[in-house]
Amino acid sequence: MRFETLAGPVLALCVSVFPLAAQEQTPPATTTAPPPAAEEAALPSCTDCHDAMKTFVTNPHAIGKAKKDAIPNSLCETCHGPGKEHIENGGDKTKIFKPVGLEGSNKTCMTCHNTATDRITRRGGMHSNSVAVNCLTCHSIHNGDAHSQHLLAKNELALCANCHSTQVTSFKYQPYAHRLGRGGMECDSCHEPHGRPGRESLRLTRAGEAPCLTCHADKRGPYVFQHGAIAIGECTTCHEPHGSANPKRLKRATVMQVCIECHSPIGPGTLGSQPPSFHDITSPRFRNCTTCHVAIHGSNRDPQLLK
Amino acid sequence: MKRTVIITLALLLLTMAAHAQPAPFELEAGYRWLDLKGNSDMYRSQINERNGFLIRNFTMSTQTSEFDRLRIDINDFGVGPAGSLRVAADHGNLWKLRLGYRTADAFSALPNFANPFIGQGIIPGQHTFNRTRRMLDIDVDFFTDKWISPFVGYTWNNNHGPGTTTYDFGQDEFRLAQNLTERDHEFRAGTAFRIGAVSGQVMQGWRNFNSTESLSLLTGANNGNNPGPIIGQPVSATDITRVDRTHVDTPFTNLYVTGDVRNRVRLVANYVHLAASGDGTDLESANGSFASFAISRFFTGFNGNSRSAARNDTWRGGGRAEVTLVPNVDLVAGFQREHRDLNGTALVDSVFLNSVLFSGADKKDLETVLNAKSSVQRDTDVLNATIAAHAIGPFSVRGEFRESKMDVDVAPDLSEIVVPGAQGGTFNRRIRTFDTDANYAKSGLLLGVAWRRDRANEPIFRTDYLDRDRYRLRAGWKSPKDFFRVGATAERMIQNNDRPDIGYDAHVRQISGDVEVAPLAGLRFRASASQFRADSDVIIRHPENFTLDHSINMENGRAEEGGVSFFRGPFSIDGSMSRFENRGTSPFLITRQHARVTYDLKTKAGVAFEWDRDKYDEPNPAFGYYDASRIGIYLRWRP
Repeated sequence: MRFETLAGPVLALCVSVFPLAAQEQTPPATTTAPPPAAEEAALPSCTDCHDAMKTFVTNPHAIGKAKKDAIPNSLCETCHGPGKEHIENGGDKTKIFKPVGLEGSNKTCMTCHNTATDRITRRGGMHSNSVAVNCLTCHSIHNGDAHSQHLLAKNELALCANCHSTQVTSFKYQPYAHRLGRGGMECDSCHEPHGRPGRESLRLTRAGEAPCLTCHADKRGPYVFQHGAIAIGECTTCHEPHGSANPKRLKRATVMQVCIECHSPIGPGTLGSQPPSFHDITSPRFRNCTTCHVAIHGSNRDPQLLK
Repeated sequence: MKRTVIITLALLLLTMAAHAQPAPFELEAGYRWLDLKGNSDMYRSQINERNGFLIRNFTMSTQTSEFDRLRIDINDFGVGPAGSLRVAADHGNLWKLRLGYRTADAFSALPNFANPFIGQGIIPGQHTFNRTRRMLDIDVDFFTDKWISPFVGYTWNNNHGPGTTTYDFGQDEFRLAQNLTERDHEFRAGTAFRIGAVSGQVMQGWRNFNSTESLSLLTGANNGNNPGPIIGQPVSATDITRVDRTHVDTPFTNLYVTGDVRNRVRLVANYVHLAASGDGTDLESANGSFASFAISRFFTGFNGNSRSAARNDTWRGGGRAEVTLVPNVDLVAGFQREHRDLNGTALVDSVFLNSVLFSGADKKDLETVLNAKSSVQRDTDVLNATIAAHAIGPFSVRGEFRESKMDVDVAPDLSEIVVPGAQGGTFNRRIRTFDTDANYAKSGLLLGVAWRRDRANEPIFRTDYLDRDRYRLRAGWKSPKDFFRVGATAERMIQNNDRPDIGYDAHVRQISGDVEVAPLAGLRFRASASQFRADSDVIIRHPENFTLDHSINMENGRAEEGGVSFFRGPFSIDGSMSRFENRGTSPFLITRQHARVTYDLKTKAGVAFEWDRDKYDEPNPAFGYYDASRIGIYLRWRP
């Protein structure tokens, strides 16, 4: 059964059941929010003034700490520090901590999110917590983009475009490009924004392969007859992953150019054989190498990648 | 699909009407019309937005007694060409679930790809497909009061659909109808752990890939692409059929461990290992009149079968140390080693029926057997050290040195078929990289400069550089309250290999700038412009006469875009126009217009109107031209 066939009824079920459940007056099954101290209980709630923050109940930071219509002040104080003085002074903005810039992210976000994995680091990464780029440059904790799962300040393409405008230009304008924002594909589908620079910013498959193979599973192989460009090189040997003026996001205007530039062993020491002399590359028949060498990524049947 | 969307919408409407109460979701759904002039194949290969129902957006974020958070997001679900569904559900300190479903239609029928007859005006090319890829990801994390947090996950990736391809057989190329089905399942389980200052994650996964490709001669393709006889004998096919099956099992292990020492030093170690083993079978038969230079015979029938086994054993491991020298100044140093071992064996049995020598004598069935073994080993070591000062007043500076060594051993067997081209041997390449950047950020002003220099000792491929330099400049300013923002980026990359037999030289220059102005609340203007130039040149040798030549590729693109967005009360509009012209080796002109207007009829309901127009021109309009307008009308509901 196609997944979409199930998706409709499931979606309708969710919408029909959960609003009802949300309105139940039964006490919450579990809560991890600490019981308010007597002193705090006597204070007004932050949401009494900050009405818009009532929606914070669905913010990921409120998970397990807040329930509908009940956001404890202690939750706000996790990032903003003690709020008693702020409240007692009629909302004096100088009496409350507002996280801004590097200092703000260091004192708040990094308290919990200073994690490191094999791909993520906050210390030497391209987007390490610096004055130029820090957590709050990209994330808006209260007012994130409505469709963002990660509290991003804007939609991801627009956000990355602030600095990486040349790459975004390739996505937006080249005729053959991965269409970002469509089908769940975003910059971070392939890149780990909290990662290290260069190749190590790539978001590998769980088996540690190039990110392209997350979707293009058929290109993983292994093949008996590997195309050297893949076995020793990588997808970007022939393809422009962001966007290209050429079909199949190739790096050259014609397929023949992509191939012949390696397959011209004039001197020693490079991989790539010379095609036999019947390959007249001035003829249209031989200007499309993959018309015959269809299994260009690799083959289990034919050493010349013909099938 | 249409039926599904209609059912979905109907259920939603009925549900809401029945409850008549607020529900925490936003829904935007409707219909999109397409008006297309020109080459529809080209349009579908590039954009592929079609007529049909669409859930443009759906977002629900709520809290219930069952979930501390339940969020559902849907984008462009319905007629496609690409849509997604995401579900995030959290139950406090017990578990969290993440589900993602993606669908993407892939269509390709390009005029000038795999097309030997483009000169005769015949389009599209001979390689086409119309496929759909669907991917499902589910991950569930369980939280315990102990030191571990187990998790399980599953990924399903399905790609299927018809296509056309070609088959070089019997000294001709024949067009084949293709039907492809690929299914990939991945199960995984593991646990995250934290024991004092040591934390990490270990995951074991199992991946299973199955592919079936069925091929048969296309109607009318009997005479192949090349009408002429071979040594006086006409070549034609009455039928060709092939069935290829491939099965790959891939267990993999992925783990990392981090440890903190007094908050000043962090050690990170990682290891990943995959062992993919694939089996393939191929059954093939053909009838007709064919020639083969490999056996120097004509033949009228062919039966072939092959069995293959291939293995990819790859592991990568390494570690790094992160040391905070003084507050906001860090040193990071690490080492990674990757080892890849590719092995393959194939037994290819080919029977040429009724074969005769080119002279016409010696009629018989001839069998050839190819028993091949292949192996490629690749080892890569990467050593790097980075020092980063995150805040020296308004400055941040980073410098990195990296050395990457690759050793490749290609071992051909007697049949010399490893890495097509009959090549074997050992190849080594070492790259030393110095990478630095500096940024200044203060009062909304951001200035950045980056330089990366790579120096390699040897190429492995002819388009590998020996010297590469990349420069990048960035500048931007954002006013307080965000009413004005301007930014510009300039990049230049030069790479070359001066070896006399290669003469590789490539330049990329790119500059872009954008400005946004919001003179009034709710009103925002934006404009951008960019220029892209890429030139590459490498010496090649013509196979047909062995003369040396230059392979030159050029791109010279220029893009401009302007747009405005405005909202006031229940009304909003967002519009833009753009133009992109490339005057390089593959010249084209793309113009685009986009408008989206929304109006809330009530606080809970509204309409959205979208108009997009894409116009694509190539110098030869018969091949690539299209002018596609899409109009979408969507109902918005926000109970």
